[in-house]
Amino acid sequence: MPDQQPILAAHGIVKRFGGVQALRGVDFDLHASEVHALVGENGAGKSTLIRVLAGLHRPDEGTLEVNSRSMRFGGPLAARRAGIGTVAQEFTLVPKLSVAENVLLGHEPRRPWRLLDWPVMRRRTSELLEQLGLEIDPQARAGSLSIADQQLVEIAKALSLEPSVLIMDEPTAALNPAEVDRLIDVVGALRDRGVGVLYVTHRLGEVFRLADRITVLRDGEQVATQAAAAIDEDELITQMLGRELTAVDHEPQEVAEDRQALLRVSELSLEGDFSQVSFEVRAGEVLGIAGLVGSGRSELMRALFGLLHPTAGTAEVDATSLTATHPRDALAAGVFLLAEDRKAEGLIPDLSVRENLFLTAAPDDGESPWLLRRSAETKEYEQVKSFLDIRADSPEQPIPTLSGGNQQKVLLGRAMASHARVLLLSEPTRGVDVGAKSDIYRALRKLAADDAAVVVSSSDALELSQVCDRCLVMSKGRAVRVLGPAELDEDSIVAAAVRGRDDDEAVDEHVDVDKEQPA
Amino acid sequence: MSTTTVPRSPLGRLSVRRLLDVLQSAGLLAVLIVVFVVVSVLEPHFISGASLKTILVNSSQLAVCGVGMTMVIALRGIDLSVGSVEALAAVVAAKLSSTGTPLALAIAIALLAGLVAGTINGLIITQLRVPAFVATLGMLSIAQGVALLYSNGGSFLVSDRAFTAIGRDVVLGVPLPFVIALLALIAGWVLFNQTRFGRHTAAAGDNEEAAIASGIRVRSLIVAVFAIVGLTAALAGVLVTAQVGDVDATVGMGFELNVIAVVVLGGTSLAGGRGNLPGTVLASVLVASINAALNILGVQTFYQYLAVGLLLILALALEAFRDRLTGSRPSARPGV
Amino acid sequence: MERVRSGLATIAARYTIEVVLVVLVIVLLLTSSSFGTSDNLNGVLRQSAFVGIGAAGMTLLIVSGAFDLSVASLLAVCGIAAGKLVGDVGVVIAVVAALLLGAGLGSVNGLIVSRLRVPAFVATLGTQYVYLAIAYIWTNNQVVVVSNTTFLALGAGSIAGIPTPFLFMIGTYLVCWYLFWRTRYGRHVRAMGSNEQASLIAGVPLERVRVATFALVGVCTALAGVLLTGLVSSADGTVATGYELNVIAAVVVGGTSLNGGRGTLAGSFAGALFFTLVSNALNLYGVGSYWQYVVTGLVLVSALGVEGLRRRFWLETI
Repeated sequence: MPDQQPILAAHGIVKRFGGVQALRGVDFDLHASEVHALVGENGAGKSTLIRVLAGLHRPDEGTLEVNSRSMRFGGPLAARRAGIGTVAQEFTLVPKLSVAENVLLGHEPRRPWRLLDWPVMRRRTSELLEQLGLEIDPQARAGSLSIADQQLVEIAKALSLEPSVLIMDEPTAALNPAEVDRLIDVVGALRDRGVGVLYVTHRLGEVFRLADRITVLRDGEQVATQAAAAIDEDELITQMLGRELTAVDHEPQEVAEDRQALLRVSELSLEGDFSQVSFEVRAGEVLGIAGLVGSGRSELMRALFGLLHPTAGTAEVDATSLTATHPRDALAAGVFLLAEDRKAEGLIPDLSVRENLFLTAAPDDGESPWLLRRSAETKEYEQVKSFLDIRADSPEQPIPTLSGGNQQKVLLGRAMASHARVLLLSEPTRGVDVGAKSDIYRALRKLAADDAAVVVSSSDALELSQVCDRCLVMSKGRAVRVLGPAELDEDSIVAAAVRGRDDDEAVDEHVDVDKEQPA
Repeated sequence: MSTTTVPRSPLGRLSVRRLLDVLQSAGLLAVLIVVFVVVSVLEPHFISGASLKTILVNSSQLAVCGVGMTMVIALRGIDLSVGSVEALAAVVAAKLSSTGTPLALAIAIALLAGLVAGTINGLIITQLRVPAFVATLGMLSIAQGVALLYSNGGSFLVSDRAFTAIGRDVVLGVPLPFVIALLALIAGWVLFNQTRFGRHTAAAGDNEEAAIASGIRVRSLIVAVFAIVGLTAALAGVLVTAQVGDVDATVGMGFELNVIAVVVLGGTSLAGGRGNLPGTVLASVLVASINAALNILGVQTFYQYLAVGLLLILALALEAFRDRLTGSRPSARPGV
Repeated sequence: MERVRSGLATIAARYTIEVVLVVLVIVLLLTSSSFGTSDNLNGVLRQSAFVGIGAAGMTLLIVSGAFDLSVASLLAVCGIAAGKLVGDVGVVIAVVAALLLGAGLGSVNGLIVSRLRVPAFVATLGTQYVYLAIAYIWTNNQVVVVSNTTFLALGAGSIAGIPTPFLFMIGTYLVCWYLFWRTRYGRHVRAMGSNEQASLIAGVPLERVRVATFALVGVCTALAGVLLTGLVSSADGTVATGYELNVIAAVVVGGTSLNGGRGTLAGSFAGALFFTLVSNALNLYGVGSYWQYVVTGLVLVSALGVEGLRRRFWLETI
């Protein structure tokens, strides 16, 4: 039950960055024993607000009260001392140090002579991890843990200072359904212990599972704060977008049998990641690849592109054998990869939009392999820009100035400019807000219609059901099912991904679907 | 609901990482033994007490400064000024001592000079936001100039017996300069591995944002670490003066590259986050041994360059291989 | 008025080193009677070419994300090669041989870095020793003396009143500028330095670009070595001690970021001139050579310190 007085109360927070107003007078409060969710599109101001509360930004206007005491906005240290703990989206673990050193970083227990007290460190770390239901060796190197475990170590780290407020920013971004369940249990337990949790997420299903109250931000303004029970998902989306979400106008369709299979994969295996995967993709078709984190689908994409080397099996592009040992081999065969993390593996930040777009393009016949052909590029740029609906003021603009959705479109443009016919796209709408997502789906369909074979690997079953013609489902490295156009809906995809192969041992997880189950 | 988690690869445990460090040192030890065996077959004098003492004495300056440089590199920084700072401390100690200043005071002032130079490096890096590479490159020039000005281009002969005794004395059979190096090693090891300061240094070198977010005052840390390496450079200068007895401002030329070489040979990664202090000292002994070996075999000095260069490349190729094995990122540019 | 002021501020920010250079020249012309003499100016131009030519290649290398610390020894070896050969095979072949040797040694650096995955900083630290050893061994620790007049004219002569090395410097920068901005290779260099992993996935031939860029540094350095040998009519292993630091200083002061991805050749050109001018100014003002060390160091730190302070305090307004 939420107490009467909020443990955290922020009023009238205003924050400007240069000419942009990120927050326009936002109020936010949090009670003890409460989970208060914060939702909104990318750019709505969620990150800014929590960075202000965590002490990483000083607001231009506004007041803050913690435990009914008025507080000045100091740095991260002041916020922590006031009892505000943060689990940020970017990991703040130091990979080369041990788990214990990480959890107690900054306030390590000491013996006389200012030497570190290792036994005490190990003990306190174990205690904190036990509270989260983990038995990780405190001496393990933090960088060697799985992402999900690292997340929990981050939480242990935040808890080590015994905060009364815990801010969690997209904590489930990299977790599979079982790990999400575990995390939700943990958050619930924290709430029961009296902690006030500020929970920021894109995943509305989690919001309704966990939150007591929901605050919606849009364009830096606070649109609504309400009890979770008083609203449903559609209304919430309307609040977030300011308009209703229009469905993508697409029906999955069977591509005509006589179209050639552009990509044919046969018994492809990479020891330790996936085995005996076979499928075909025809020109004009969009094939989805679904599966939980760890199912092997990202490794499959990377193996087809030459970043990983398969240990068995074959792949063919346009009836020519593809043995890619290096991305350049794959590109020469007409295969293009859009990697999951566009910041790390897609965009070149110091280059302009144009240069990013044409980076992969090989010289056409008759063109000099040396020189850049600026006017030809400009012409082609205009064509690609209108085809994909890229919103950029000028091709010479630095690419970091574009929004996430437009950056992704530029990368799709890179595929076009390289004349690739097989497009392997991993999580094409990651970090793209709801409005731009449908733009990307439209672009994918157009590329397929333009005679490409498009493969989309995604963790979002809804997305796959909306944009693909068929869907391959992978689980634990095996291809489990292929869902045809008629069976292509979100529930079937998730069920197949979670259920796995029929002859696997019974998996002790309950099916997590982003909808309420009937009682 | 409890989950037991084992690190994904057995190479993930910190103890295994330490084992690899030990193996690296074992590799160095192996090379050292090979050098000794081969050379003493050709030239039995090599194993004599006098020869060994010379090797240890010669390795001390590299070892002492190496301890400081190891910490800077663990912080993902670099200090190119240690050669000039060593020279500055050497001429200061020599000039003061030969003009009548009591030995302890002369040495103290020399060490202070190093401390000050290092602190200035740290301040330039943190306050002016100049990358460490450039800041210490500037200091290299500045300190060299100050050393030349102070010595007026001349050299100083140390006449104080007590001073040269530092270079000649023996403690329990081990030359005093090397004992000092070992003391520096112990102090450095405790500081780096057993105190908050040291662990915070490693954290800041591995993931600076994480360190800042954990409330660590990274800027003060940087200033302190650079002050320490300045101090060790100055100590090296004092040792060199004590050993050689006759120094001028050019005594430190090329020293910085040698120090960086032994730190890297010793197994410390330029990517930061870790530091192998015993490895650094071992590598210093190895380099001094190779130089002595080539000397005693009558091989011309420039082959020593060849030896050190090849050794460095070999050691790094091995480290890159090892990093790939344990799944770490390959090292990026240092000191930026 | 506001527009003009902010326009000037932007120019000053983007072309800092060029502006400083111009200001320095003006100050020197006004305050020193011997500065403006053609002898002195020619001397400055001539002197700046050696570091300047090396800085052209080094700019591309730093933009691509690597360093080369071996250039001092590389320069020495190539200068020795030219000096030794010119007596037997004539100027043209000797120079070409030296440049090819430079390309070869540079490629070795590049291969060690890309094949053996050794970080450039330390790899070239190692090859610095190796090439130095080669220089000593080749000359048997003696100085090579050159007397071929055409060869000497390369370093010591002038064409149409302009010192020949400076003409070579201009030519080198034009070639490098063209490579950097007008070719696919240049785009690949900038991409690699900005985000190597993304470049790999975009199909940039990383190894080829890396080796080629190291080779380019080798060629530029070799050219500087040939010209220097011509100027001092001799060659030996220690002729260019500290060269690598001077070259990197010129590049850095010129505005190229040590992080890679962005760079300016014009800045490196100005940076090389700048350091030579500072040294010249100190000489003209009668400042002792010891003080020159101090001043050069202060200048280097200030040049970047000002940039750092500007980014720290003025970023909000600009």
